[in-house]
Amino acid sequence: MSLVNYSSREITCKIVYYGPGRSGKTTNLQHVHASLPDGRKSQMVSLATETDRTLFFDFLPLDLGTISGFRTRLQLYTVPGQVYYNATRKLVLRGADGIVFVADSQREQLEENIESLRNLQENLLEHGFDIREIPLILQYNKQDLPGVLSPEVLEEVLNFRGVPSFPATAVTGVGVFDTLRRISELVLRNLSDRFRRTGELAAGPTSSPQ
Amino acid sequence: MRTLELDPRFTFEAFIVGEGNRLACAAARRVAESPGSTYNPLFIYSASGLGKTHLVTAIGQYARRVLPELRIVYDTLEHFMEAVMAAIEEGERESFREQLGEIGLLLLDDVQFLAGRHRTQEELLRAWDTITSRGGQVVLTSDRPPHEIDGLDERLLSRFAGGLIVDVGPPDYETRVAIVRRKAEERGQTLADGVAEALARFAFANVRELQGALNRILAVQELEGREIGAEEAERILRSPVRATGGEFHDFVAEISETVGEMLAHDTAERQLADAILRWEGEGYRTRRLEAALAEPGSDEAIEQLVRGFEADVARLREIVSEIAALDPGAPELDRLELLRDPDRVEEAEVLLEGVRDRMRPLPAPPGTFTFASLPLEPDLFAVRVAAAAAEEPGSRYNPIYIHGPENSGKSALLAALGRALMDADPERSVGYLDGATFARELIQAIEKNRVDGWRIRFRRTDALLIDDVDVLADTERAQAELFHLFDDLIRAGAQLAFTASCPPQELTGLEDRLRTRLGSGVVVELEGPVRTETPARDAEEPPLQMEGPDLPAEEPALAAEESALPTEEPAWHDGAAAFDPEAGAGTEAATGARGGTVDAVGVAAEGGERDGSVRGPDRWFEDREKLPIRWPYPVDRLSEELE
Repeated sequence: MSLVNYSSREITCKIVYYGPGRSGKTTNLQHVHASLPDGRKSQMVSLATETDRTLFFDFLPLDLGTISGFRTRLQLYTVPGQVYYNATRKLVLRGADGIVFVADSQREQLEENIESLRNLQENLLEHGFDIREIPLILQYNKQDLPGVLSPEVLEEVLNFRGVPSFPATAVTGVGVFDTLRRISELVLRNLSDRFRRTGELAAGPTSSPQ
Repeated sequence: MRTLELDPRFTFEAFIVGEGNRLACAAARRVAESPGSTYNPLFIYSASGLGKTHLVTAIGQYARRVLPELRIVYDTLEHFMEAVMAAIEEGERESFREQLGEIGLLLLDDVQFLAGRHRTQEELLRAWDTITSRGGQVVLTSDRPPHEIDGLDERLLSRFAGGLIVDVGPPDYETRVAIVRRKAEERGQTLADGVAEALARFAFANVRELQGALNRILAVQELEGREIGAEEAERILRSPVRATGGEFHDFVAEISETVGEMLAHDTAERQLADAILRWEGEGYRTRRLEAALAEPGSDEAIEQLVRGFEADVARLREIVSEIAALDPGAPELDRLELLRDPDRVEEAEVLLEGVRDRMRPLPAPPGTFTFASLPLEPDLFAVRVAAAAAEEPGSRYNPIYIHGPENSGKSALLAALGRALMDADPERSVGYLDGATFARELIQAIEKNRVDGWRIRFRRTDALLIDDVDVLADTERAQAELFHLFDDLIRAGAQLAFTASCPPQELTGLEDRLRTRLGSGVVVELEGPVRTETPARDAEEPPLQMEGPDLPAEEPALAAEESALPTEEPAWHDGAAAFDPEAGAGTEAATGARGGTVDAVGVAAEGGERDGSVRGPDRWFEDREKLPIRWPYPVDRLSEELE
């Protein structure tokens, strides 16, 4: 779904924040949104339930301005973490160029993290993607809470694929931009490699975010 | 109406173009070059300090330079709308509207303040329509794109979208280096090696901050009277007030590098994309390139394609220039679907060919003859009619119909008339051709389906002289065309003249409607053949003889009107035969002596000169005391007018 549209000189990438419920995906986006300078502040679309847990998804279009003559946009999405919203997750996942898996570092959430990671793999497969081929990053969130699992432990348990990972405390912004920067780089490089490999080029208009 | 001063420092020349602002700068230039014709409105937005005001001012400066007559208003939205509101409150809406209509270029800064101000938006809409309806250009700047201006009226949104919305991005590293160097230069200071680069490495949020940092370095240099090195510059910048754009700017700065690297690999596609963007922006169809973009080939193939495309665009431009030069008001210039489509160059060539054909001047009269060098006596009635027509073309004697046998000098007289018309006014277009050519070119035009162009070519002439018009006998279309052309040219005040071998009423094979028109002006006759040259002639010019009725009345050739004269005035006509005392004297052949380009000339004339046989009266008859009451026909009156 990522696009380098040479005609309109646009680059658009879709990054999905995935993870179990309440792991801090929306908090990541909120921090990014809060960090935007006034001139760039776009509207963050958040469809949340009364208890503030993501019902459908958050969508934050991120306009990076013109880079090398190309209007560059990142579209950041979150999926609803709750198990029963798998259909929405699949929908949001469609066309993702990169995935940030936000893990909840609390010990008691470990199983949910594993389950969510498995769910991610399944859903990607349904879209015809191999999790090994799509840019993926792990973020070990809530590191500020007491008694959480250390990044090393989580790395051992969750990062069996050896993808880049970052410890984070999204609520204070720690690690949020590190994560975003790395996934963006991976996505852009992947995009570039793909073009070089296949000559794939999108000449049509930007697809709708969903 | 108030207008802010345009800061003279802010010109296009002083604007450093980088990837982030290339598009905005190109669009601004385009607008400045031809306000109101390309991107209207041009909406430039960016975070502050990236050059919006510089660009908008540069547009104003440039437009003022190339179009000094253009009324330019540069203001902030706030002030401009205050003026609009004040005019309304003072009941001067109409006169203010008049003033608005005179604006050729409106430059409005900071339109983001439209947010939530419905009345202001409403009035801006009105002002806008007044300005643009008269071809005025509007340029707006804002710190955000239109759709992010809260509560912006849909109509305004759609107007913005109807032009070009373009952002000015932050400068990339190289551009920052260039900006730092240029600014230092403007301040008359030099920077040590690596200082500009050190400054550019800092992630400043905008150019203004970058300039602020440079100012600090320059201030230290100035105050301490020494040059700051790169390391020291960095230290100064890091120390107390390093300006950063925060996490997001750092992020963007780093991502920029990644994007730059990524795009660097796609050079051929970029070339294609650049070409599409550029030519689309210039209004050309880019179908061919778009197709290639969908299925890109090798780098060489793409390069070749782009080169071919650009060559076609260049050719189209040449074609447009040539058409415009040939005929600035050519309707063909409106055929943009063709003239802006490089895939249709061939059709454009045909279009140009048509215009060339149409605008090709009609053949000019041969330069061989002037009234002074005619092989005819200047006193001849026909010669004097032609000379008078040359002085007042289109109004006095129109058309002139000259008839006479072969060798009578009628073609030469026609050519001399044409020459005189051209000499009197070099701008005047005079067409001189024979009837056969007229018919032949019509057939060619029919063959090429260019009759319209053929007609226009003839209609725009100031004088049309057709030799041997009688060869059109028995043609159909040529006669019909000449008939219409005749009326058109007469209406337009063009001078017409024709030659033929016989008077109009004796022409056969010509439709009456044309025949009567040919004879509707002045019909004169040359008897021919033309005189031969005798070297001593001029010196021995004797006075006119007035032989009256006794003159050799070989055949008093009568012009159309003349033939209808009442028979009770025979003496008048009989006496008109000979003006030239040398009649019968010249005997030498003079083949080619006068250029010989016209059929009746340069042929040996036997039996001396007889050219004055036109029924024009000799001087004996020009006595006003005698003749006025006996001039019932126009041609008779000529004798007085020509005196």
